[in-house]
Amino acid sequence: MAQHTVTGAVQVGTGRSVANIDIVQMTTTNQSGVEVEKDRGMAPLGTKVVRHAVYTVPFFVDPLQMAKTNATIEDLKVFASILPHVFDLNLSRTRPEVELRHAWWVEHTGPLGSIPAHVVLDTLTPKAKTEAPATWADYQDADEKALAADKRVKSLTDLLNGVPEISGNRVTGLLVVETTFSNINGDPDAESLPRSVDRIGIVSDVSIKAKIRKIAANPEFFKAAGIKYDSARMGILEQRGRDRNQIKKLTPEEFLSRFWDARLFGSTFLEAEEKPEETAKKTKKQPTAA
Amino acid sequence: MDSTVVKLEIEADFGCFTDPLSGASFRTYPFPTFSALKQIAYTIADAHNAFAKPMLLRICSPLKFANYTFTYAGAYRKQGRAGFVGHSTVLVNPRYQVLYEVVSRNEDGGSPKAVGLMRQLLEYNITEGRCKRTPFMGRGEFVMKYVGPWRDVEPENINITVPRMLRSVFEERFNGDFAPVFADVKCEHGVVHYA
Repeated sequence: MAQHTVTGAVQVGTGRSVANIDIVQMTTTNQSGVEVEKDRGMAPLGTKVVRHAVYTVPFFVDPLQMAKTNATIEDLKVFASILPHVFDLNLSRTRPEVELRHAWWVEHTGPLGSIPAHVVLDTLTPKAKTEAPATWADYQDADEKALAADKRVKSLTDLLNGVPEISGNRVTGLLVVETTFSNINGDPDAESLPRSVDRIGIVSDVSIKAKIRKIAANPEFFKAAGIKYDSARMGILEQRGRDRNQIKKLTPEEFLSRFWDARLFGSTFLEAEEKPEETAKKTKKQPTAA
Repeated sequence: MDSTVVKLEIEADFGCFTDPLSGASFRTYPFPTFSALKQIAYTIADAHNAFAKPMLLRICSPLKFANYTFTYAGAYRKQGRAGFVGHSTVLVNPRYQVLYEVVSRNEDGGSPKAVGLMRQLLEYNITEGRCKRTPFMGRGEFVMKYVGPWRDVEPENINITVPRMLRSVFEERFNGDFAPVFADVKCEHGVVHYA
Protein backbone atom coordinates (compact mmCIF):
# COMPACT_ATOMS: atom_id res chain seq x y z
CA MET A 1 0.00 0.00 0.00
CA ALA A 2 1.58 3.26 -1.12
CA GLN A 3 0.44 6.87 -0.95
CA HIS A 4 -2.92 6.75 0.67
CA THR A 5 -4.93 9.14 2.81
CA VAL A 6 -8.21 8.30 4.40
CA THR A 7 -10.25 10.81 6.33
CA GLY A 8 -12.18 8.96 8.98
CA ALA A 9 -15.94 8.84 9.35
CA VAL A 10 -15.71 10.04 12.95
CA GLN A 11 -14.05 13.28 13.95
CA VAL A 12 -13.16 13.81 17.61
CA GLY A 13 -12.38 17.38 18.59
CA THR A 14 -10.11 18.79 21.27
CA GLY A 15 -11.93 18.89 24.60
CA ARG A 16 -11.87 21.79 27.01
CA SER A 17 -12.93 22.54 30.54
CA VAL A 18 -16.08 24.57 31.07
CA ALA A 19 -14.42 26.72 33.77
CA ASN A 20 -10.88 27.60 34.84
CA ILE A 21 -8.97 24.76 36.43
CA ASP A 22 -6.75 24.61 39.51
CA ILE A 23 -3.74 22.34 39.30
CA VAL A 24 -2.61 20.91 42.64
CA GLN A 25 0.03 18.51 43.87
CA MET A 26 -1.08 15.01 44.81
CA THR A 27 1.45 12.90 46.66
CA THR A 28 0.93 9.27 47.53
CA THR A 29 3.03 7.23 49.90
CA ASN A 30 4.31 3.79 49.18
CA GLN A 31 4.52 2.13 52.60
CA SER A 32 6.66 -0.80 51.63
CA GLY A 33 10.35 -0.45 50.92
CA VAL A 34 10.97 0.27 47.30
CA GLU A 35 14.76 0.33 47.25
CA VAL A 36 17.33 -2.33 47.95
CA GLU A 37 18.31 -2.48 51.64
CA LYS A 38 15.41 -0.24 52.70
CA ASP A 39 12.45 -1.57 54.63
CA ARG A 40 10.56 1.73 54.92
CA GLY A 41 8.51 3.41 52.28
CA MET A 42 8.77 6.88 50.96
CA ALA A 43 6.60 9.34 49.07
CA PRO A 44 8.07 9.36 45.63
CA LEU A 45 4.87 9.43 43.67
CA GLY A 46 4.12 13.14 43.59
CA THR A 47 2.04 14.19 40.63
CA LYS A 48 -0.02 17.13 39.48
CA VAL A 49 -3.78 16.82 39.15
CA VAL A 50 -6.77 19.07 38.56
CA ARG A 51 -8.76 19.72 41.74
CA HIS A 52 -12.13 19.56 40.01
CA ALA A 53 -13.23 20.16 36.45
CA VAL A 54 -15.93 19.47 33.93
CA TYR A 55 -14.66 18.90 30.41
CA THR A 56 -16.61 18.72 27.17
CA VAL A 57 -15.33 16.77 24.18
CA PRO A 58 -17.19 17.19 20.87
CA PHE A 59 -17.34 14.52 18.20
CA PHE A 60 -18.99 14.21 14.82
CA VAL A 61 -20.03 11.42 12.49
CA ASP A 62 -19.66 12.31 8.80
CA PRO A 63 -21.84 9.85 6.83
CA LEU A 64 -20.38 10.89 3.48
CA GLN A 65 -16.96 9.79 4.70
CA MET A 66 -18.34 6.39 5.68
CA ALA A 67 -18.66 5.39 2.04
CA LYS A 68 -15.04 6.40 1.41
CA THR A 69 -13.64 4.37 4.30
CA ASN A 70 -16.06 1.41 4.02
CA ALA A 71 -17.25 2.16 7.54
CA THR A 72 -20.59 0.57 8.38
CA ILE A 73 -23.46 1.14 10.76
CA GLU A 74 -22.05 -1.78 12.77
CA ASP A 75 -18.77 0.13 13.16
CA LEU A 76 -20.67 3.11 14.50
CA LYS A 77 -22.60 0.90 16.92
CA VAL A 78 -19.33 -0.38 18.32
CA PHE A 79 -18.10 3.20 18.67
CA ALA A 80 -21.31 4.30 20.40
CA SER A 81 -21.19 1.25 22.70
CA ILE A 82 -17.62 2.04 23.78
CA LEU A 83 -18.17 5.73 24.51
CA PRO A 84 -20.03 5.30 27.83
CA HIS A 85 -17.11 3.21 29.14
CA VAL A 86 -14.25 5.25 27.74
CA PHE A 87 -13.16 6.53 31.14
CA ASP A 88 -14.33 3.94 33.65
CA LEU A 89 -12.44 1.22 31.74
CA ASN A 90 -9.33 3.38 31.57
CA LEU A 91 -8.82 4.47 35.16
CA SER A 92 -5.30 4.94 36.41
CA ARG A 93 -3.51 6.28 39.45
CA THR A 94 -3.46 9.80 38.01
CA ARG A 95 -7.11 9.74 37.06
CA PRO A 96 -8.88 7.86 39.84
CA GLU A 97 -12.09 9.88 39.75
CA VAL A 98 -13.28 10.49 36.24
CA GLU A 99 -16.99 10.28 35.67
CA LEU A 100 -18.76 10.53 32.37
CA ARG A 101 -21.84 12.60 33.14
CA HIS A 102 -23.30 12.47 29.63
CA ALA A 103 -22.44 11.02 26.26
CA TRP A 104 -24.83 12.97 24.05
CA TRP A 105 -25.57 11.50 20.62
CA VAL A 106 -27.65 13.87 18.50
CA GLU A 107 -28.75 12.52 15.16
CA HIS A 108 -29.67 14.98 12.43
CA THR A 109 -32.47 14.34 9.96
CA GLY A 110 -30.13 13.85 7.00
CA PRO A 111 -26.56 12.91 6.08
CA LEU A 112 -25.47 16.53 5.53
CA GLY A 113 -26.91 17.69 8.82
CA SER A 114 -30.02 19.66 9.64
CA ILE A 115 -29.07 21.87 12.58
CA PRO A 116 -25.89 23.93 13.14
CA ALA A 117 -23.42 22.04 15.31
CA HIS A 118 -22.82 25.08 17.53
CA VAL A 119 -26.52 25.15 18.45
CA VAL A 120 -26.31 21.53 19.59
CA LEU A 121 -23.00 21.92 21.43
CA ASP A 122 -23.93 25.22 23.13
CA THR A 123 -27.22 23.74 24.35
CA LEU A 124 -25.64 20.59 25.76
CA THR A 125 -22.64 22.22 27.45
CA PRO A 126 -23.18 22.67 31.21
CA LYS A 127 -22.83 26.22 32.51
CA ALA A 128 -20.83 27.12 35.61
CA LYS A 129 -23.02 28.75 38.26
CA THR A 130 -20.10 30.21 40.20
CA GLU A 131 -16.72 31.65 39.27
CA ALA A 132 -14.85 28.77 40.86
CA PRO A 133 -17.03 25.67 40.65
CA ALA A 134 -15.82 22.89 42.94
CA THR A 135 -18.48 20.22 42.55
CA TRP A 136 -20.94 19.02 39.92
CA ALA A 137 -23.66 20.89 41.85
CA ASP A 138 -21.90 24.15 40.93
CA TYR A 139 -22.87 23.60 37.30
CA GLN A 140 -26.19 24.07 35.58
CA ASP A 141 -26.66 20.90 33.59
CA ALA A 142 -28.00 21.14 30.06
CA ASP A 143 -31.72 21.24 29.49
CA GLU A 144 -31.91 18.98 26.47
CA LYS A 145 -35.72 18.88 26.22
CA ALA A 146 -36.04 21.88 23.89
CA LEU A 147 -33.34 20.47 21.64
CA ALA A 148 -34.98 17.03 21.61
CA ALA A 149 -38.25 18.65 20.55
CA ASP A 150 -36.59 20.62 17.73
CA LYS A 151 -37.82 19.37 14.34
CA ARG A 152 -34.29 19.62 12.99
CA VAL A 153 -33.19 16.86 15.38
CA LYS A 154 -34.16 13.28 14.57
CA SER A 155 -33.17 11.91 17.95
CA LEU A 156 -31.27 12.96 21.04
CA THR A 157 -29.87 10.20 23.22
CA ASP A 158 -27.61 10.00 26.22
CA LEU A 159 -25.56 6.90 25.45
CA LEU A 160 -25.37 6.20 29.18
CA ASN A 161 -28.99 5.05 28.77
CA GLY A 162 -28.25 2.80 25.80
CA VAL A 163 -27.30 2.99 22.14
CA PRO A 164 -30.11 4.23 19.86
CA GLU A 165 -30.97 3.00 16.39
CA ILE A 166 -28.29 4.34 14.07
CA SER A 167 -29.52 5.14 10.59
CA GLY A 168 -26.55 6.74 8.87
CA ASN A 169 -27.48 10.40 9.30
CA ARG A 170 -25.04 13.01 10.47
CA VAL A 171 -24.36 12.95 14.23
CA THR A 172 -23.14 15.70 16.53
CA GLY A 173 -22.05 14.40 19.91
CA LEU A 174 -20.66 15.69 23.16
CA LEU A 175 -18.97 13.91 26.05
CA VAL A 176 -19.42 15.69 29.38
CA VAL A 177 -16.76 14.51 31.80
CA GLU A 178 -16.35 15.37 35.48
CA THR A 179 -12.93 14.86 37.05
CA THR A 180 -11.90 15.15 40.69
CA PHE A 181 -8.27 15.13 41.77
CA SER A 182 -7.37 13.61 38.42
CA ASN A 183 -5.21 14.37 35.43
CA ILE A 184 -7.38 13.45 32.49
CA ASN A 185 -4.65 14.19 29.94
CA GLY A 186 -1.04 15.02 30.73
CA ASP A 187 1.07 17.30 28.55
CA PRO A 188 4.14 15.38 27.34
CA ASP A 189 5.84 18.72 26.80
CA ALA A 190 5.44 19.72 30.45
CA GLU A 191 6.28 16.62 32.46
CA SER A 192 2.71 15.37 32.25
CA LEU A 193 1.21 18.45 33.87
CA PRO A 194 -2.52 18.53 33.12
CA ARG A 195 -2.90 20.23 29.77
CA SER A 196 -4.13 23.80 29.94
CA VAL A 197 -4.02 27.10 28.11
CA ASP A 198 -4.76 30.20 30.17
CA ARG A 199 -6.17 27.99 32.96
CA ILE A 200 -8.65 26.33 30.61
CA GLY A 201 -8.09 22.59 30.79
CA ILE A 202 -7.54 20.74 27.53
CA VAL A 203 -8.05 17.12 26.47
CA SER A 204 -6.49 16.09 23.20
CA ASP A 205 -8.42 14.05 20.67
CA VAL A 206 -5.45 11.67 20.57
CA SER A 207 -5.98 10.87 24.25
CA ILE A 208 -9.68 10.11 23.77
CA LYS A 209 -9.11 7.99 20.68
CA ALA A 210 -6.35 6.03 22.39
CA LYS A 211 -8.76 5.12 25.19
CA ILE A 212 -11.41 4.09 22.68
CA ARG A 213 -8.92 1.92 20.77
CA LYS A 214 -7.78 0.25 23.95
CA ILE A 215 -11.33 -0.90 24.68
CA ALA A 216 -11.99 -1.83 21.05
CA ALA A 217 -8.91 -4.05 21.06
CA ASN A 218 -10.22 -6.08 23.99
CA PRO A 219 -12.52 -8.99 22.98
CA GLU A 220 -13.60 -9.34 26.62
CA PHE A 221 -15.38 -6.00 26.39
CA PHE A 222 -17.58 -7.21 23.53
CA LYS A 223 -18.31 -10.43 25.36
CA ALA A 224 -19.29 -8.59 28.55
CA ALA A 225 -21.34 -6.00 26.68
CA GLY A 226 -23.05 -8.63 24.53
CA ILE A 227 -21.98 -6.97 21.29
CA LYS A 228 -21.69 -9.17 18.23
CA TYR A 229 -19.02 -8.12 15.80
CA ASP A 230 -16.90 -9.43 12.98
CA SER A 231 -13.47 -9.99 14.53
CA ALA A 232 -11.81 -9.97 11.08
CA ARG A 233 -12.85 -6.31 10.72
CA MET A 234 -11.98 -5.23 14.26
CA GLY A 235 -8.21 -4.87 13.87
CA ILE A 236 -6.65 -1.86 15.56
CA LEU A 237 -4.04 -0.03 13.52
CA GLU A 238 -2.62 2.22 16.20
CA GLN A 239 -1.46 -0.16 18.89
CA ARG A 240 1.74 -1.77 19.94
CA GLY A 241 2.90 -4.89 18.21
CA ARG A 242 1.36 -4.43 14.81
CA ASP A 243 3.70 -5.19 11.93
CA ARG A 244 4.15 -2.26 9.60
CA ASN A 245 5.74 -4.38 6.90
CA GLN A 246 2.68 -6.62 6.83
CA ILE A 247 0.43 -3.58 6.57
CA LYS A 248 2.42 -2.22 3.65
CA LYS A 249 1.65 -5.38 1.71
CA LEU A 250 -2.12 -4.85 2.00
CA THR A 251 -4.17 -3.23 -0.72
CA PRO A 252 -6.12 -0.13 0.39
CA GLU A 253 -9.34 -2.21 0.33
CA GLU A 254 -7.82 -4.95 2.50
CA PHE A 255 -6.39 -2.33 4.82
CA LEU A 256 -9.74 -0.61 5.36
CA SER A 257 -11.65 -3.82 5.80
CA ARG A 258 -9.19 -4.99 8.47
CA PHE A 259 -8.71 -1.92 10.68
CA TRP A 260 -11.72 -0.52 12.53
CA ASP A 261 -9.89 2.59 13.76
CA ALA A 262 -8.64 3.42 10.25
CA ARG A 263 -12.24 3.35 8.97
CA LEU A 264 -13.48 5.53 11.81
CA PHE A 265 -10.58 7.84 12.62
CA GLY A 266 -8.64 7.84 9.33
CA SER A 267 -5.03 7.19 8.43
CA THR A 268 -2.30 8.49 6.19
CA PHE A 269 0.50 6.73 4.36
CA LEU A 270 2.85 9.01 2.50
CA GLU A 271 5.40 6.54 1.25
CA ALA A 272 5.66 6.44 -2.50
CA GLU A 273 5.48 3.07 -4.17
CA GLU A 274 8.91 1.67 -4.88
CA LYS A 275 9.98 1.79 -8.50
CA PRO A 276 10.83 -1.62 -9.96
CA GLU A 277 14.49 -0.66 -10.45
CA GLU A 278 14.79 0.35 -6.76
CA THR A 279 13.33 -2.97 -5.65
CA ALA A 280 15.74 -4.80 -7.96
CA LYS A 281 18.65 -2.82 -6.55
CA LYS A 282 17.71 -3.72 -2.98
CA THR A 283 17.27 -7.40 -3.72
CA LYS A 284 20.47 -7.68 -5.78
CA LYS A 285 22.85 -10.09 -4.16
CA GLN A 286 25.57 -8.27 -2.31
CA PRO A 287 29.17 -9.30 -3.15
CA THR A 288 30.70 -11.33 -0.40
CA ALA A 289 34.20 -10.82 0.96
CA ALA A 290 36.81 -13.19 -0.39
CA MET B 1 -20.23 40.91 -8.26
CA ASP B 2 -22.65 40.98 -5.31
CA SER B 3 -24.61 38.01 -6.62
CA THR B 4 -21.55 35.77 -6.37
CA VAL B 5 -20.40 36.78 -2.87
CA VAL B 6 -20.87 34.60 0.21
CA LYS B 7 -20.05 35.50 3.83
CA LEU B 8 -18.91 32.95 6.39
CA GLU B 9 -17.83 33.34 10.01
CA ILE B 10 -15.80 30.67 11.79
CA GLU B 11 -14.55 30.38 15.35
CA ALA B 12 -12.69 27.66 17.24
CA ASP B 13 -10.77 27.07 20.47
CA PHE B 14 -7.58 26.44 18.49
CA GLY B 15 -6.30 26.70 14.95
CA CYS B 16 -3.17 25.68 13.11
CA PHE B 17 -2.29 26.75 9.58
CA THR B 18 1.15 25.27 9.38
CA ASP B 19 4.04 27.14 7.84
CA PRO B 20 5.82 24.42 5.83
CA LEU B 21 9.14 26.10 6.64
CA SER B 22 8.66 25.23 10.31
CA GLY B 23 9.59 21.61 9.62
CA ALA B 24 8.65 18.93 12.12
CA SER B 25 7.81 21.43 14.88
CA PHE B 26 4.66 22.75 13.30
CA ARG B 27 4.28 26.50 13.64
CA THR B 28 1.13 28.18 12.52
CA TYR B 29 0.88 31.27 10.35
CA PRO B 30 -0.84 34.13 12.18
CA PHE B 31 -3.92 33.72 10.00
CA PRO B 32 -5.27 31.15 7.51
CA THR B 33 -3.81 30.62 4.09
CA PHE B 34 -5.84 31.09 0.93
CA SER B 35 -6.02 27.35 0.38
CA ALA B 36 -7.09 26.61 3.98
CA LEU B 37 -10.04 28.99 3.61
CA LYS B 38 -10.90 27.47 0.26
CA GLN B 39 -10.92 24.03 1.86
CA ILE B 40 -13.17 25.19 4.71
CA ALA B 41 -15.77 26.33 2.17
CA TYR B 42 -15.28 23.05 0.32
CA THR B 43 -16.26 21.07 3.42
CA ILE B 44 -19.55 22.96 3.54
CA ALA B 45 -20.53 22.73 -0.11
CA ASP B 46 -18.90 21.99 -3.42
CA ALA B 47 -19.88 21.54 -6.99
CA HIS B 48 -18.21 20.03 -10.00
CA ASN B 49 -18.21 23.27 -11.97
CA ALA B 50 -17.84 26.10 -9.40
CA PHE B 51 -16.00 26.80 -6.16
CA ALA B 52 -15.75 29.44 -3.43
CA LYS B 53 -12.63 31.57 -3.74
CA PRO B 54 -11.53 33.46 -0.60
CA MET B 55 -11.28 37.19 -1.30
CA LEU B 56 -11.10 38.85 2.10
CA LEU B 57 -10.49 37.84 5.70
CA ARG B 58 -11.37 39.83 8.83
CA ILE B 59 -9.46 38.73 11.93
CA CYS B 60 -11.94 39.21 14.77
CA SER B 61 -9.93 37.97 17.76
CA PRO B 62 -6.56 39.04 19.15
CA LEU B 63 -3.56 37.11 17.87
CA LYS B 64 -2.59 34.61 20.53
CA PHE B 65 -0.37 31.57 20.34
CA ALA B 66 0.16 28.53 22.56
CA ASN B 67 2.25 25.39 22.54
CA TYR B 68 0.24 22.32 21.71
CA THR B 69 1.95 18.98 22.00
CA PHE B 70 0.53 15.78 20.70
CA THR B 71 1.53 12.16 20.91
CA TYR B 72 1.73 10.42 17.59
CA ALA B 73 1.20 6.68 17.50
CA GLY B 74 0.26 6.38 13.86
CA ALA B 75 1.68 4.52 10.96
CA TYR B 76 4.96 6.43 10.88
CA ARG B 77 6.12 5.72 14.39
CA LYS B 78 9.31 3.74 14.64
CA GLN B 79 8.66 0.02 14.56
CA GLY B 80 8.49 -1.35 18.10
CA ARG B 81 8.14 2.06 19.72
CA ALA B 82 5.03 3.36 21.43
CA GLY B 83 4.95 6.64 19.53
CA PHE B 84 6.56 10.03 19.53
CA VAL B 85 5.78 13.49 20.76
CA GLY B 86 5.06 16.17 18.19
CA HIS B 87 5.36 19.85 18.98
CA SER B 88 3.36 22.64 17.48
CA THR B 89 2.57 26.28 18.00
CA VAL B 90 -1.12 26.96 17.47
CA LEU B 91 -3.53 29.87 17.47
CA VAL B 92 -5.78 30.30 20.49
CA ASN B 93 -9.46 31.26 20.08
CA PRO B 94 -9.20 32.21 16.39
CA ARG B 95 -12.27 33.93 15.01
CA TYR B 96 -12.56 35.00 11.38
CA GLN B 97 -15.05 36.48 8.97
CA VAL B 98 -14.43 35.44 5.40
CA LEU B 99 -15.76 36.84 2.16
CA TYR B 100 -15.84 34.38 -0.72
CA GLU B 101 -16.53 34.90 -4.36
CA VAL B 102 -18.04 31.91 -6.09
CA VAL B 103 -16.34 31.38 -9.45
CA SER B 104 -16.45 28.81 -12.19
CA ARG B 105 -13.88 26.07 -12.41
CA ASN B 106 -13.76 26.55 -16.17
CA GLU B 107 -10.97 28.73 -17.50
CA ASP B 108 -13.40 30.49 -19.85
CA GLY B 109 -15.69 31.63 -17.04
CA GLY B 110 -18.20 28.81 -17.35
CA SER B 111 -21.92 29.07 -16.87
CA PRO B 112 -23.32 31.86 -14.66
CA LYS B 113 -26.10 29.47 -13.72
CA ALA B 114 -23.63 27.00 -12.21
CA VAL B 115 -22.02 29.79 -10.21
CA GLY B 116 -25.42 31.01 -9.02
CA LEU B 117 -26.48 27.53 -7.92
CA MET B 118 -23.24 26.99 -6.05
CA ARG B 119 -23.63 30.31 -4.25
CA GLN B 120 -27.18 29.42 -3.23
CA LEU B 121 -26.10 26.00 -2.01
CA LEU B 122 -23.22 27.41 0.00
CA GLU B 123 -25.37 30.10 1.59
CA TYR B 124 -28.12 27.60 2.40
CA ASN B 125 -25.68 25.15 3.99
CA ILE B 126 -24.01 27.90 6.04
CA THR B 127 -27.36 29.07 7.38
CA GLU B 128 -28.81 25.62 8.02
CA GLY B 129 -25.67 24.05 9.51
CA ARG B 130 -25.22 21.49 6.74
CA CYS B 131 -21.85 20.27 5.53
CA LYS B 132 -20.20 17.52 3.53
CA ARG B 133 -17.75 16.87 6.32
CA THR B 134 -17.02 18.62 9.58
CA PRO B 135 -15.17 21.90 9.00
CA PHE B 136 -12.03 22.44 11.06
CA MET B 137 -9.50 25.18 11.78
CA GLY B 138 -6.47 23.83 9.91
CA ARG B 139 -6.20 20.52 11.74
CA GLY B 140 -8.88 17.88 12.08
CA GLU B 141 -9.04 17.98 15.87
CA PHE B 142 -9.54 21.75 15.96
CA VAL B 143 -13.24 21.63 15.23
CA MET B 144 -15.24 24.82 15.02
CA LYS B 145 -17.33 26.20 17.83
CA TYR B 146 -19.16 28.43 15.37
CA VAL B 147 -19.78 28.12 11.64
CA GLY B 148 -22.42 30.40 10.25
CA PRO B 149 -23.35 33.81 8.91
CA TRP B 150 -21.39 36.88 9.99
CA ARG B 151 -22.19 38.13 13.47
CA ASP B 152 -21.80 41.67 14.72
CA VAL B 153 -18.08 42.10 15.39
CA GLU B 154 -15.30 44.37 14.16
CA PRO B 155 -11.82 43.21 13.13
CA GLU B 156 -8.95 43.61 15.57
CA ASN B 157 -6.35 46.29 14.82
CA ILE B 158 -3.68 43.87 13.60
CA ASN B 159 -0.99 45.02 11.18
CA ILE B 160 1.43 42.41 10.01
CA THR B 161 3.07 41.23 6.82
CA VAL B 162 3.84 37.57 6.36
CA PRO B 163 6.67 37.20 3.88
CA ARG B 164 6.47 34.34 1.43
CA MET B 165 3.31 32.89 2.93
CA LEU B 166 1.99 29.73 1.37
CA ARG B 167 -0.98 30.64 -0.78
CA SER B 168 -1.92 27.29 -2.20
CA VAL B 169 -0.46 23.82 -2.50
CA PHE B 170 -2.23 22.63 -5.62
CA GLU B 171 -3.32 24.29 -8.82
CA GLU B 172 -6.33 26.44 -8.18
CA ARG B 173 -9.27 25.07 -10.05
CA PHE B 174 -10.02 21.38 -9.81
CA ASN B 175 -7.94 18.28 -9.14
CA GLY B 176 -4.87 20.41 -9.73
CA ASP B 177 -1.29 19.19 -9.74
CA PHE B 178 1.10 19.83 -6.86
CA ALA B 179 2.26 23.38 -7.51
CA PRO B 180 2.91 25.34 -4.30
CA VAL B 181 2.67 29.11 -4.58
CA PHE B 182 4.16 31.54 -2.05
CA ALA B 183 3.53 35.27 -1.79
CA ASP B 184 3.90 38.15 0.67
CA VAL B 185 0.55 38.65 2.42
CA LYS B 186 -0.39 41.82 4.29
CA CYS B 187 -2.85 42.22 7.09
CA GLU B 188 -3.87 45.83 7.63
CA HIS B 189 -6.17 46.80 10.49
CA GLY B 190 -7.17 43.16 10.84
CA VAL B 191 -8.14 42.74 7.19
CA VAL B 192 -6.37 40.50 4.68
CA HIS B 193 -7.00 40.69 0.95
CA TYR B 194 -6.20 37.54 -1.00
CA ALA B 195 -5.22 38.56 -4.51
